[in-house]
Amino acid sequence: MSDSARSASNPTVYVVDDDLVIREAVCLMLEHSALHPEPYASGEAFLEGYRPGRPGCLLIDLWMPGLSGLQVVRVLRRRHGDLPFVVLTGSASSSLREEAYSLGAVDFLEKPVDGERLLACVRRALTVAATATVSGPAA
Amino acid sequence: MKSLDDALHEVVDTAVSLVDADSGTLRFPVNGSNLKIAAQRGCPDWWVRYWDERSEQGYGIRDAALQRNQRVVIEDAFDSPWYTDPMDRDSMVQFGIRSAVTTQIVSSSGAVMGFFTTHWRTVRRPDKKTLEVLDLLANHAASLIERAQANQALRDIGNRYQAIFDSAPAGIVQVESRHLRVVEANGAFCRMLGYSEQEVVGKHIINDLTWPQDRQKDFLGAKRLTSGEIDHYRPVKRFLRKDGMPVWVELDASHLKTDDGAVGDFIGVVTNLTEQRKSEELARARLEEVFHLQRRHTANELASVLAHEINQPLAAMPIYGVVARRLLEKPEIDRADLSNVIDRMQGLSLQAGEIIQKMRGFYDCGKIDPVPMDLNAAVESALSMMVASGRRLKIDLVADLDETLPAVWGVQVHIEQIMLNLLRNAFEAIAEQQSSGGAVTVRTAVGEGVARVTVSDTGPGVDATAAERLFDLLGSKKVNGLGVGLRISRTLIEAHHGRLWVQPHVPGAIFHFELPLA
Repeated sequence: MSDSARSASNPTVYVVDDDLVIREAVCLMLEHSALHPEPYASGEAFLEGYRPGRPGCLLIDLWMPGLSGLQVVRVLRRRHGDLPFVVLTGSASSSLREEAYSLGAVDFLEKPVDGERLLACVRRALTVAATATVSGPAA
Repeated sequence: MKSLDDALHEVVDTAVSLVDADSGTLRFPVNGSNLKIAAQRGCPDWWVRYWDERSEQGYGIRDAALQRNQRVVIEDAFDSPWYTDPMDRDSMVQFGIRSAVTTQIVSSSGAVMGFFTTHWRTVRRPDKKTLEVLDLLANHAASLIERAQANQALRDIGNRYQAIFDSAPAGIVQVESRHLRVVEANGAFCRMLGYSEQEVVGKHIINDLTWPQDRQKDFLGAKRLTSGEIDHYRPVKRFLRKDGMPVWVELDASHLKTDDGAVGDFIGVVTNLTEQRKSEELARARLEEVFHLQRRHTANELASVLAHEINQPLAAMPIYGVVARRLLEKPEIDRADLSNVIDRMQGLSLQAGEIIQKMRGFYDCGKIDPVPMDLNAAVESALSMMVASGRRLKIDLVADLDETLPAVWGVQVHIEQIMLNLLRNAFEAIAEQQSSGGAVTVRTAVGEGVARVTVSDTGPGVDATAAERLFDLLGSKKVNGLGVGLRISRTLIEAHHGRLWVQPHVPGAIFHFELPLA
């Protein structure tokens, strides 16, 4: 299987959450659901480790030490263009929810969330990723 | 009642007219001073001033003679051995006085009270009858002056009593003891009961002015006072205000004794407890309000900390649920994987439970009612709880407590929880290190209006960047609940009007907290 073929059939789910408990649970669930997760404990770590060109989506917490989830999305978009993302947060105001959607969030989930629903959202984001043309850096 | 001044003038006037003199003086110690011309008749001011000054300079010879003898007789002022200074004689010449007789006024106890002098414009040797008249007058003058002095003293006492009576903050009421009617009452008493001073006089102290339920007790009290069974009747009772409302007071009733020992009027001193109680209640209510707000604030903050912390394990559980289902959906069930997932879910529920336990320990029904407490005792209590795990982890516990530490405002159980949290953090920090063992030192000391507790350890320490984030709910390491504990501790300390902070220091963390002195 070529590298691009592997990427297309098994896209990456970048899981960015500072909480170890959530990170581990989500990654385990994705693995058992035939997905390929990559855990990151902070937005900074994710931005450092992210390589553009691979299909995938982002599952990101809003409140983390350092960069917030939405800040990470903005930096990513400026550097590499859009990556479909799902917000998974402990608590958020409605204005943050609106802000997330205006940035193109596929969904906005509050913890605790039904695992099947979370999985469905991630799959939807990956569908968006597959149909979207990966563009270069935004103008 | 004759005043002293009136009496002195009467003596001079009588003396001058009885012996047909031209003028006269009466020398008397005024307000405890030397002898002065306290009353005179027919003498010019300059002459009076001259002789008052002479008295002050110590005009000794004649006064000494007067103390010894009955009287001093000057038949001719122009040629008298009594005038040792020519100025003295000149003053007599200038005034136009040629002769004088000075008579002692002797009190009933035999002391010389003063002198009166009668002057004539002519040379004169007073006859026996004149001298006898003057002696009689001297006797009369002594008793007149003594009576006037006594009256004056009584008047002074009366004035003083009246001033106290009028301006006393306590109510004072004088009650006629046979019919129990008010004779007089001061302003404070009238204000307390809502009557004017005119209205209250003549009112029956019990039937008109006492709350019905307290009347019987008061009648008994009055009876026991009258019979002499008791000297003071001191009930806490209710008076009846003019508007029908009760007034709680503390009464101290006693009776005035007359000279013959009979029972005179009752005097009641009344302290208004309603006002005192009101202000006490007000202060208490205000304090309650503050604590209520504080409690609500703390409760809100703790609730948000709790919600955030407990949300993580709760959120992880349904995700593991999906994992378990996926494992079950496989044709071959991997029992080891499934068991692992179940373990994790169990662990998460227990973790959620632990967080709740921790909050309970800290919060204890949300009561924050600080009382004066012994900070050292709370510190020692927390230390004693950590001794066992200290031994297990090879951590030395060092207490350096200021024995003279005054009491602080606090809730002992909360301060113990905060101490326990700081000690646990220190233990965990030390245990994280590669090398085994270490030490935790707790110090107490007095600062300005505060007592300070310092907890330092031999762990890796907290640098300035980490210190900034340590109390930040989201910036904290959440794995073992360090941040939560610190955050709750700070919230609690602030609810006690104290503060809690970390001193950036590497290696070895240093935490301080302070509480206000009681």
